[in-house]
Amino acid sequence: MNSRILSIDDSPTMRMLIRKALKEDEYEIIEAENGQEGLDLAQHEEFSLIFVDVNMPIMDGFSCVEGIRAMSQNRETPIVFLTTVNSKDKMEKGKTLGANGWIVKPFEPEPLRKLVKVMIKK
Amino acid sequence: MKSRKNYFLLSLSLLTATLVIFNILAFFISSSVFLSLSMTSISFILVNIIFLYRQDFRYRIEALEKVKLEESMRQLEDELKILSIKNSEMDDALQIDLDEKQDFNRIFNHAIYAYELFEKGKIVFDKLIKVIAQKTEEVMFDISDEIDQLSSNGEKLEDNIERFLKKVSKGDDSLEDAIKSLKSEVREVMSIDDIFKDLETHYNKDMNKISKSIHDIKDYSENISDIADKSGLLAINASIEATRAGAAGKGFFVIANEMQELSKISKSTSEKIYEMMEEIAKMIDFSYENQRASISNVVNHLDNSKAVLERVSDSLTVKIEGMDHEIDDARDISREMKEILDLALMKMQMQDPITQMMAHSQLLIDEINKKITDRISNIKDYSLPEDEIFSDIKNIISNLFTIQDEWDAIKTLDIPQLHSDDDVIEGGIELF
Ligand SMILES: [Mg+2]
Repeated sequence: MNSRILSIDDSPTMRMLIRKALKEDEYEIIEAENGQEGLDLAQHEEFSLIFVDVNMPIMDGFSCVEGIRAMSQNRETPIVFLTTVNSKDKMEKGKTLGANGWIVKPFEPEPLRKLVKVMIKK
Repeated sequence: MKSRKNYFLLSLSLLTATLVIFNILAFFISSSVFLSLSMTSISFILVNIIFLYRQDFRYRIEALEKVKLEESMRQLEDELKILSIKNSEMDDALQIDLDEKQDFNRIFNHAIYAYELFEKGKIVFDKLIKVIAQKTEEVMFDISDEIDQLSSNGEKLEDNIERFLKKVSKGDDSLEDAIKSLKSEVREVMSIDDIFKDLETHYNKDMNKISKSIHDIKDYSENISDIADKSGLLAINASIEATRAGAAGKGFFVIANEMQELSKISKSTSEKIYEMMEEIAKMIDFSYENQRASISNVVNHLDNSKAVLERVSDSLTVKIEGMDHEIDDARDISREMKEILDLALMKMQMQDPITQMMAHSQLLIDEINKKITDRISNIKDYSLPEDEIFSDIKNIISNLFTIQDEWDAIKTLDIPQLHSDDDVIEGGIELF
């Protein structure tokens, strides 16, 4: 079975770009367009890796990650922020909430593919 | 005093009694000695009487002076009472005056707060909008380059297939492998067509959002005029109060006039922002329309190529010769197209920070508007520390801004200790 990746971002272009970047490596990509949707999906389904944006309507990335980490089944799930936010203190906040990494947009497809491989192997 | 008087009265009575005894003795004995003693006693009595009289006179004067003093003391007390009443009246009056002054001060502090916050917020908004406009333009033109290249490669691909078709129709020798190879290369290019169609749909959604935001922000700059109106209103209120206060309010009246002037200037600046936004909106609409046209142009070319290829495959006889050149061409084109597409995909991510900045500039105006409205409706409940405007604008900005472009936009502004370049994450990926 292909590894399942949850991609949470409010921008349709960003979601599509992540999908396109990872397509060749044959992952199953499930998408959510805000933090709340992502939280609901993480509650009921199992994922090998979660990408999450910071600035989103309804629920932002920080609250979303806090919620996901509070779920017993997601205590170990790799979570990586993929965001336009590039300030160190916001990144520290993400780290404190239990995320495993931080990527500043725009991402390059090749390094992203490599990162996914590393993260899922863990 | 009284005891002295009694003593004199006693001695006078004794002398009088002695005189009476001497007179009686002189009468009965008819002695000149007693008579002379009587005379001495009389002179004593007289001296005593004179002395006594003088004493009494002094007492009377003293008593009289005492009465006078008491009276003037009473008068003085009364005067003091009146004075103290007047004094406390004056104190009260002074307090009222002070309260009024503090009231005016408060109103003016708030008017100045509203005006300053508005002015600072407007500058931040203005800077942010300029960056948004510049970035949008960059994204539009950047991607336009890639789209143009994709479009011309699509044309090349069409030519290539056409040449291929001509050769096939000449009925050369069988080269099944070559055909398979060419077909797979062309199929590769066709997958780009799918990606591009997908991209067109999604990208259009985001770009529509950007266009909409630009128009929204245009409406928001109307809001800025509202804020200018509000601080003008505040100034008018204050000047009415100042006029009511009379001469004491003269200074306030001057400030109020000044405030009104300032808010007029603010209004005209915000009208200029509105005009600028209208221009930006037009420009973005225009380049967005152009871009949409080029995207559909690429899709058309690719669709044509696909149709031509299908026709070729259908009518393909088995005799083909010298296809190597066409196959290489097709391979080159497809590789190049993939690279261009990757670049376009990277650049298309730039719409995300732009969308963010637009949302933030709207929220900025919202926050400022909220603070000023709040201030105006609760004007008496606030006291105003001097640095409040500074800390308010700082709070609003640090709660909103998350993108380097936003910090860069306000770099030249005099808002200290907000963000330093050291706080920025360098490079793309950071693992914890
Ligand atoms: Mg977002």
